[in-house]
Amino acid sequence: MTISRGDTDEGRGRGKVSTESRRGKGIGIYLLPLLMALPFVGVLILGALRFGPTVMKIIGIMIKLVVTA
Amino acid sequence: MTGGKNPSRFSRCVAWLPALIFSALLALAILGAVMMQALTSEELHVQTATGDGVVGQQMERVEAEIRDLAEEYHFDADRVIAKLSADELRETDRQMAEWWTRIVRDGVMDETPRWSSSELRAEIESTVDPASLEADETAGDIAREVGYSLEKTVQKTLMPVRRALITMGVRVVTRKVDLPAIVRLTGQLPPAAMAVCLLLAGVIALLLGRKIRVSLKYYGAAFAGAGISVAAGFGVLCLFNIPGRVREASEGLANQMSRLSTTIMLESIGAAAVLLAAGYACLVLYQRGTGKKKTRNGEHP
Repeated sequence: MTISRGDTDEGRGRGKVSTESRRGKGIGIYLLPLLMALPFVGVLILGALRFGPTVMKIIGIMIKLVVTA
Repeated sequence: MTGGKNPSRFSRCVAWLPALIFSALLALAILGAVMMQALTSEELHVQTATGDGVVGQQMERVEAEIRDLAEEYHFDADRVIAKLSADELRETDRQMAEWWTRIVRDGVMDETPRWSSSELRAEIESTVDPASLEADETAGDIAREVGYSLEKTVQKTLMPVRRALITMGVRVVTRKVDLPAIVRLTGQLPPAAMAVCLLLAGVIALLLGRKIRVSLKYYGAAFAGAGISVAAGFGVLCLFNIPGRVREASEGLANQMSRLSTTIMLESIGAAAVLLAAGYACLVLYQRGTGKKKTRNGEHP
């Protein structure tokens, strides 16, 4: 019986090493959304840190001016 | 429509840029749409203002005021309270909500809706203790005074804001800018952003040679990234703690706003959950497709 290269796992490129690296790549892909959101969330956080206290003060003053008990 | 050759490494790298913009724009569009709906939806504001819980608390406050006035002016509080109508209060609440949304949505300042105490005045006049009247006072005078106090209380209870300040503010703003046009334009921004997102989705597909399976990775990352961004945006909004600050200033207004806050929260979290689910579904589909393809050819797409 002749076994050609394409019949074996190694021949098909399937082996222990390639399975582990495929699993690692599989987990990595599910972290892509975090990377995509990073710039937006980063700008939000920086904006909140920079302008947050001022905006909160303005909102507080406006609420106190406009709202009655 | 699966295209021909696999996309080059350069195309695959460049496609991340429109995917990133897609993700950010989608998040902004959704947050913008939620906020615009919360600020300008007349239906939502009317539902918020006329809820049973809100009207019930307003009735309690007005009843307490009637009892206080009855002690001071000596009339029958129970008979007057029996004449107090929750439906009338609800109707005035509805008119107040419509008045407010017309200002925000159209920049139009109508006359402030008013609740009338005319029905209660007749009952007050008929139940005033004549022995408590002073020499030059009549029951009608007492009824007018009490009615006026009640109207002020009801106005403050139904809309605990300084309307004169709002009126002045809107007049100043509308003299300088075209407020209705700005509100209309701002309302059109979320749909415009969604349209740009569709264009970017097309650009990604073109860059990847119309390979749907390959595009799934980019779409999945963009959708799920937008979901995370929407959740983060809502989180930052919560930091401002607007409902808490309003509650410190006015319990009544905070109760009226609670339904509005709940709606904003549910819509934001719901949108974030849907985007995350859609995004990760695309990524799972991509992974499964990649796994099958690798098994067949032994190479990554």
